[in-house]
Amino acid sequence: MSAFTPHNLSLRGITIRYPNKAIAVSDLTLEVVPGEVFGLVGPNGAGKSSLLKCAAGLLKPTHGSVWCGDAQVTNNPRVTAAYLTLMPDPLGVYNDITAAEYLEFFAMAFGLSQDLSRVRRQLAIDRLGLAPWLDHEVETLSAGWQRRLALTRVLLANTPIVLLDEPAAGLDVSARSDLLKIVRGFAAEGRSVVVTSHILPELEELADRFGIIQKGKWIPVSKDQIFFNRNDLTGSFQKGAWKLECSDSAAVRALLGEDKIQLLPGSNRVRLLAQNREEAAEQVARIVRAGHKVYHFEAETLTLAEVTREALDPKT
Amino acid sequence: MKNPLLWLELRIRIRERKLWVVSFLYLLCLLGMSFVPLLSTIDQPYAAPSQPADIGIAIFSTSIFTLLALLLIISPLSSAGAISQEREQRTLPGLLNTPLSSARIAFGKLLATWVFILWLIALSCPFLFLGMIWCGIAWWEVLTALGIIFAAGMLTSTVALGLSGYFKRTITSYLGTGTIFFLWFVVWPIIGGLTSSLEPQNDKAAQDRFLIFQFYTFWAHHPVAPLILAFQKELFEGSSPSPINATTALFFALFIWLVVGIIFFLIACRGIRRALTDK
Repeated sequence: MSAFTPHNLSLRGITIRYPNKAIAVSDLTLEVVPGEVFGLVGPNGAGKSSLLKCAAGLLKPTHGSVWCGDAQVTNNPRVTAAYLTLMPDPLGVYNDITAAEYLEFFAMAFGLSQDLSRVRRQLAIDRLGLAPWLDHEVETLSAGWQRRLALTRVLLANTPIVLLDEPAAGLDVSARSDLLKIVRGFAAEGRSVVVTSHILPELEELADRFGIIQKGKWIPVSKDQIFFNRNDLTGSFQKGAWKLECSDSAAVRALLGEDKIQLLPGSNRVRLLAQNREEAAEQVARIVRAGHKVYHFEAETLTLAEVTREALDPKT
Repeated sequence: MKNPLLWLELRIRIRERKLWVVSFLYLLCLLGMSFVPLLSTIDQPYAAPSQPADIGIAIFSTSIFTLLALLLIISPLSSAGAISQEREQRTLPGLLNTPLSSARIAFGKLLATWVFILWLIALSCPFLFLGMIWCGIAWWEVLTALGIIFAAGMLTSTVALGLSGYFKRTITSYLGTGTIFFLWFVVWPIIGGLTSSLEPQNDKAAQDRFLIFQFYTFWAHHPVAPLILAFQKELFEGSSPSPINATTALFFALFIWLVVGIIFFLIACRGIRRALTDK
């Protein structure tokens, strides 16, 4: 497969106003670099799909511009198609054709020569494991296989940027896991990937960086921070609590006090509350010095779902 | 094949049972209508025998008008849901995220319908050439008739495609197409007929001007008009000199068709792009 040139995706000050005057997106800026998977999080109607359609040139922004690398591609779907593949939600696949015909059709739509078409179709079939399903009509395929089939467009067009709108919607656990591997593979090749999903645990596993959107605007997760990455979830977004498994939980609680130790269900498991890592380490050292054994010690972190919930509704 | 949409539509249509059922019923209808003139001569044993050329002309005339009538029904039906179905299946965003322009998408769909119309016309050729075998009809007259019928099919399918782009739902698109064509084919000519009562009396020049206005406003652009103008000129010119020139009227009709076709094609293209902002 011929190599593609990696490109950044830059959305600069995007505002989208629909003909009915509803504002879908308001002054959003985002930069996604090659090899990165960006997770776009937000409730229904937040503007995620509109933002992706705008990035793909399918929606004209009222203000702002879309850049793929150094090329300005705002509202120009035919040019954008050379840089970017969008897998929309709902997926929208042709039901009356076979999987092989679907591949052939999109190879023609992307204007591939016969030789290149053959090579890329074969690559897509091999990589996504579609060989057993080629003669099946698309409507007879399961949701997971339909998603895989739709992902072949990325490999046929061989674009450096991939936008996936709810790629895991309606998939079972196994199909979701397979899909995540495929998407991670796209990023590993140097593609810039943007994913929206309501299935946050999987998105947390998949994406490198996240942004929360509501009513068309970025929602900050702290005073000066809009975007956050996985390290933030395990580092700076700590709850100030550590899980501890020790030899005698009651004795440990008596030692450090009820304000520092909460008992957890299960034998000898407690939650240690501390201001920071240093204080937590000091408390653990006290427990050990007092002659108790500590078998396990782990910082409690916020999940993406918790961060999102807190950002969207700080009162809770 | 350069247009992927044409390739896709043909693949889908060829597999559909509907294609073969429609083709069979169409042939049956054409067969029945073409033999009506022949049967009418057999049923009159004591009448003077008809000239073969008269029978040939009768078969040809019946066939072409039956063919036109059938195509005026079938061709809009075959494109009336083309874009609205894409919209309902939500396939347009994926389709537009390719180097294909909305014009190329619409044209591909239109070409597929035109290929279907050509297929139906090809099926009808034996009936039309039957008229030639009985003499009375020249080969170029057959080709002219087929050309006009094909142009009428192209026009009606383009109008239906435009309406398919305009309406959001397939069912509304079919209903809208039916309504527009009923108004155009039936109601508008009747209104034209009713205006005859307004014809000025006792002033030949004013009468001629009125007839020209009435003809070009209400009838000249009707899909049947060019076929009548080409083969039944006496209906317009009659025995007395008519202010309407059949050749001018024929080209006027074809010009109007071209303009209408372009307008509805642009509506179809706009409909494809507009589908993305549906909320």
